Amino acid sequence: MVPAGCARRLVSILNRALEDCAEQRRKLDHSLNQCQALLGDCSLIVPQCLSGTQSRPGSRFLLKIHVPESPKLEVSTKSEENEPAAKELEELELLTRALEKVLRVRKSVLETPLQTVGAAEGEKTSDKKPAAKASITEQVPVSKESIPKTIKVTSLSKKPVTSKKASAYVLKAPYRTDLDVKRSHRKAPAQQSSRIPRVAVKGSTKGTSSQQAKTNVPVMGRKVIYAAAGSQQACGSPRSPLCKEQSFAFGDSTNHENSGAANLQLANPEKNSPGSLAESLVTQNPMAGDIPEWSPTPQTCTLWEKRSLLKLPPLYRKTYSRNSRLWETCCLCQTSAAAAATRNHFVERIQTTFCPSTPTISPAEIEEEINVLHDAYSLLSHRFKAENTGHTTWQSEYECLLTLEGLQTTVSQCLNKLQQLRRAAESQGRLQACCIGDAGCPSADCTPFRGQQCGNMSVLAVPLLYYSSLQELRDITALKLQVAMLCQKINIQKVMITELLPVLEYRLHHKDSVSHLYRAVYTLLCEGGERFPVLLHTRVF
Amino acid sequence: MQRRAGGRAGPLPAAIGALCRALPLGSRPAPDTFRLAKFDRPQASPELWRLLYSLLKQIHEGGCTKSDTIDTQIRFVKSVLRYHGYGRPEFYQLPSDGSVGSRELLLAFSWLLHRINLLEQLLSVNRVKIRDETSLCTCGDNLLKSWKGMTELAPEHGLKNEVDIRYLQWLNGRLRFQWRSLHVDYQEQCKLLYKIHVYTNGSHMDQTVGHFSVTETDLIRQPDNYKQLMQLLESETSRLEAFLEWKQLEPVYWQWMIKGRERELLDEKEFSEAIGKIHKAVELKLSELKYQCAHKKNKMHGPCRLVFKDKHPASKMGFGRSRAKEALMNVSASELINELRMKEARLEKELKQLQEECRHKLTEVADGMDSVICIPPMKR
Repeated sequence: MVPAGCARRLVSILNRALEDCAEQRRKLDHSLNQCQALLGDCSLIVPQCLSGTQSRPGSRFLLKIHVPESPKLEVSTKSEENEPAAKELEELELLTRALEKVLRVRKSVLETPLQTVGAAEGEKTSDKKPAAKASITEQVPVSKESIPKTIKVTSLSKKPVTSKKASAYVLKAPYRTDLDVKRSHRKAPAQQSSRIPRVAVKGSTKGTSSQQAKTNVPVMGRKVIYAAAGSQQACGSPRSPLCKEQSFAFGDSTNHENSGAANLQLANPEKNSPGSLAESLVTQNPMAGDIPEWSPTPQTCTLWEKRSLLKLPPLYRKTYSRNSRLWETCCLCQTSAAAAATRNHFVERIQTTFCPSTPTISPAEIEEEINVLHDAYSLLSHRFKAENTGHTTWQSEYECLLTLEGLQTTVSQCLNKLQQLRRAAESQGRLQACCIGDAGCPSADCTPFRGQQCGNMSVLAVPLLYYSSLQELRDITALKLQVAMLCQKINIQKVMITELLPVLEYRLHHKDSVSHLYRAVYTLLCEGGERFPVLLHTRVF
Repeated sequence: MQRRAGGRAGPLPAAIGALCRALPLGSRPAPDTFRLAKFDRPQASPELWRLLYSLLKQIHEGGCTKSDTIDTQIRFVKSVLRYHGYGRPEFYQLPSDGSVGSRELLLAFSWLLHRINLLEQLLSVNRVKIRDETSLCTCGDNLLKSWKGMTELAPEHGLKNEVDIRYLQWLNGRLRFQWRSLHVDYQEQCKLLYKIHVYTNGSHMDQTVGHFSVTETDLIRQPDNYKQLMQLLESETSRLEAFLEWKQLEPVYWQWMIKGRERELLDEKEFSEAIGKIHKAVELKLSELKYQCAHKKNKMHGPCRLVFKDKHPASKMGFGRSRAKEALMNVSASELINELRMKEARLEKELKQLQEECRHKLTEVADGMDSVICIPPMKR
């Protein structure tokens, strides 16, 4: 315990700042969800490449999987760029071919042990699985360490191996084609820490079960993971290897005749380009007894694809145009001279009836002036510092002298104004007492009011801020946040100075051991909590 | 009962009617209230107090807590009026049960109409949110934090008398982490917003904007959810129309306000004298304002609408109608970025300076500690 005295104010400020941040994040979350729903409402068919976007540690990716009613191919991913890159398509092509090849292999594998029903098949599939899994399992820990970001992928996929032969194959119990395994809709919120969730695979060889799985695969660059899992819980699917690092979703909503569906898993890591973000592509094949195709049949389109067809509802358009025309007219509308005259006349007359000690400047105006002075102060101090550079020639020095004199007059003018404002504020306080007097309302009741808005709210027009690239928008946001954060840091720093330094000095004065306290205070005050000084004991024995 | 200004029966009720219709829904008084108040009828008082309370709450805090008692409401209204410099002692002496004083309230209301451009502010504050907005200034952030933090000393419950310094360090670290996460979230939002803007570019019927906002895109996706939005837009449209009508009929209202107070009529000479005085006062005020402006860049404040405009537009998108007043106030992102960069630099300097000072002080303190040497961390 290294006590720091009663730093109550500091604690309350920090806590309040934390609350503010949390609230902002909640609001942001809400709007992020909304935006993502708009963009990726339907499934994105075309894999979109993610490249060139700055990635910061902890950036997150959201995948939303929608479960369609009918078992069509569904791909969902999150895109970062507008255009799918040619390279991505190429890769997709290669992977498709590879997958087809594997399927063919599978088919042949299934066919041979057809006679030896049961265990052999089970073994095979179960053998394959751990093997496949092992390969993935290997990658996972390797990549896990090196990547700060993770992507959670819910893989809902199935790969039916359908062939005429396969359909003739009848499984003996305990193998059963799962009839009602439903795909599950799973949202995969992203995490910022790279951890792999443990998802229990509720596998069972009997009965229907739906397995839900999350594959949390940390990816770097362009690792694409394809996971295809069969509907069949083939025989003693080994649960333990499954549960370890990954699990697969088994989803199959149709085709009861489908037998011998194989579990297939393919992981295809690729070399990445640093800094680019990965995508994961999850595919599902339609069942219905045909050769599994890789090319999906989209149900719905994305915002991107629909973009030329977008049209606002006609009612909205009408209302909007009327509305914006009216706003324009109101902006340009001026008070007529007659109205202005009579109005001012009224105001003048009413002001003659004001309490005689009312100062001419109201608290609202005082606040405004204070803001001006505040800005003037920072401008002036900035200029003063700028002028203090060394001068080589007498001309520049003379110039500097004159500038400083000019600045000085401005400063004294500002100080005068400050005095005026102070006097006005005091008289406002007196006015309060005067006006209240008779009614017997104590001045403590009428709490002084503080304004909270900035700028001129009575202007009807809302200006437009034009930006022309994503980078500009990000810059604006980042800078705004940075400015707010710096302001907060400065406030906190000032409070820390007043609260912590006296404690340190007090303890030093009382000859207590202050090393720990000193170190902590130094960190907080001088390094913003990021770095520590080194303290050396030099006691000579 | 004298209701006429200028000998005609029509314009005054029309003016008051327009005024009422220009006020936001939910705060609208019956036009008759004004008439009653002019004759100081007590039954109009509670409604006028309520009106003032709800309008001022909207402007200053953006929300109404209807659960406030009449007493609290009255106190709030009085403090706001004092804040804006209203000085009629009779007003402040009104009882806090709200039973009398409708005439005073009418006077205060009319004074506010002029003084703070009440109607314009209400229209701005209640603007329907269909656009993507951001703010041009960073005032909002400052206001919250600087006021709250420095002045209150309320002890936290559960806080012992002594606070471990490590707790403070931990809080500080958490705050830094929160800021970083916030940054990431905001960047994410930028990406999404940009995408929506780009994808929908060229589809909006308003040429100066060209693309949809988030709300509009959502409107397309789920038209059924937006009945309320449409209603709000409709009501805003009718309020704007009423505002324009009010602007036409304003002189009638002000005449009516003056007329009751004094018994004399304005004659030409007095009128022109008054005008002359007004001109002088305005000139004086403006010259002072110019002086003030000399020290301060004309900064832009407040909310603005976010619009994406491609630098090299391939489409035929023209500029549409030019909005005279707004065009002067349009800002480009690069201007804003420059301003923000300068502000950031200033603030960073200030923070670094504070930290330097602390370093000096702590070095002195270190000298006071015997048998301990402090080695500060490496300068980056």
